[in-house]
Amino acid sequence: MAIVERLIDLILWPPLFYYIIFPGLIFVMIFEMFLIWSERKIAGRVQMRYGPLEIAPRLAGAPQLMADLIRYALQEVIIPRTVDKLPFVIAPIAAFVIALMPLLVTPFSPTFLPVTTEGSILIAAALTTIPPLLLILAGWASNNKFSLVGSARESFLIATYEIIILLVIASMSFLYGTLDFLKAVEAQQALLWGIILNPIAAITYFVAVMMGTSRFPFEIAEAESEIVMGAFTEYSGIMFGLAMGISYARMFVYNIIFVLLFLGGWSPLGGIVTGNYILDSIILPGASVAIKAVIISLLMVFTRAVYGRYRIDHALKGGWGFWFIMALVSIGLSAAVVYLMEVF
Amino acid sequence: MAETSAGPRYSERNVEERMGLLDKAKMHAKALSLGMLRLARPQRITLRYPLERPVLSEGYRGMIVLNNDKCIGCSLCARVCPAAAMKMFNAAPKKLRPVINYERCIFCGYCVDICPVEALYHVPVHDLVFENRDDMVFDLETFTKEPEEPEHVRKVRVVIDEEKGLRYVPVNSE
Repeated sequence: MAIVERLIDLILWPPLFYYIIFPGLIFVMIFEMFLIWSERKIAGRVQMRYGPLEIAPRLAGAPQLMADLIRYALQEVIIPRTVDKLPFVIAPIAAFVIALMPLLVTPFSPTFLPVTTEGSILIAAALTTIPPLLLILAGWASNNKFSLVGSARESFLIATYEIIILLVIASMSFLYGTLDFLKAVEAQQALLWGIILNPIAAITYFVAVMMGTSRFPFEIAEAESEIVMGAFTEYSGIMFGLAMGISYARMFVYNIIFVLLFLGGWSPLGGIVTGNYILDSIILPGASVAIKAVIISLLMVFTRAVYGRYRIDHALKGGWGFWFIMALVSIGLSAAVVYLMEVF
Repeated sequence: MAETSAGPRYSERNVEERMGLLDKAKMHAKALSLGMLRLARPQRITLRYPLERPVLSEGYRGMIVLNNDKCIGCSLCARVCPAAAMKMFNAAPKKLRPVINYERCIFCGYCVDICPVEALYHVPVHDLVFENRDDMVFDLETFTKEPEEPEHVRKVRVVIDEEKGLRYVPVNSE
């Protein structure tokens, strides 16, 4: 029995629990499977179809993604002769790992976070900018024209949305007067949710994240009907599954940041005190943050059912011509809100 | 903005000239709200085919069946067949009978049209499955037998609906 207790202790050891179980790898995997399934079901419902239904019709085809995952895991990984092997293999793996890295500094409750730092917003924003570079690397290493076109499109888009996201995050940290997620959430609990204080920043961040994680109508870098899978055309087997998961993992991380900056973090459930440490510090606040992030993600995948795909120049025009200006306006709005708070 | 709505809608190639920012926002809101409406109240027109099958119309050119008693062995069907799917053979001395090869048949129905004694007729079945290609060449016994409907199939009637597009009304098989 001592071994069992040791194992339970090891699993509940906070760093391991954080990295592996929640909100780390296992939770993100379950989240991705749920999200891809619901994306297909939502698109089916809106477009007068059923979506996945063949496997377990009574569960509305829910095990479909499990079947897909098993197929990806068992398929042969083909590495073409002409690719640059080292970056080809490293790029999707590193992109997936680094896409989850911002979770290191995003708190899920006042006490449930692995790294306590003053500059957590800065670190999270910096880490979210790295995976697109590895996506470009994957396209370059693949030695395939579709991959190269996808990489080129991604490199056009990256300059657009990263600047918008960073400006919006800057405007929100300017509003709260801090670079720490904990203090930002405390400021929101003291005053109002960020989405009410600065709605322009919220909607700009939302659209920029859709652009960044290749959701419709900005699914330009991996446009299936034009360039097979964008930068990940040459991948197969579990590498393809990983590559497909990168954008969803990034969306999850971006939405955690969205919840912490705009939707009051662990606001509704985090205040409840039951006396149980695990329930108070992990489950209730973590669940409120995760549920909000899932709802925002569902809104993002819902657009697949409605929109077509923008051309790259339209997306760039919208990005630079409208949303960039909106990001600057949001900084002005933040300044106005800060000034008003000073006055009253 | 007022003149954009009154002016030419699609003659202007450029979207920026055709509609202003507010119009675009309205369009986005309209599209998203329609999507939300469809999400809340789905209007599915999918026919779940192997489980549900539509009732086929009169004169549907499906599989072809031979009525052996009527056949006079004139071999007109084999002559008219544009895909050379129909062949005559000697069922007995001085008794020609057609057989069909569904690997070649294009379901044109010329053989049924040309038959002077109406020995050939269509049945409203078009989706038989064969395990190998030899099975697709019918002999006289299979050619004279009507293909069976698979069990556990819900028969539905396709109705064109003005609001929804297509509707499937279940048909009681009894």
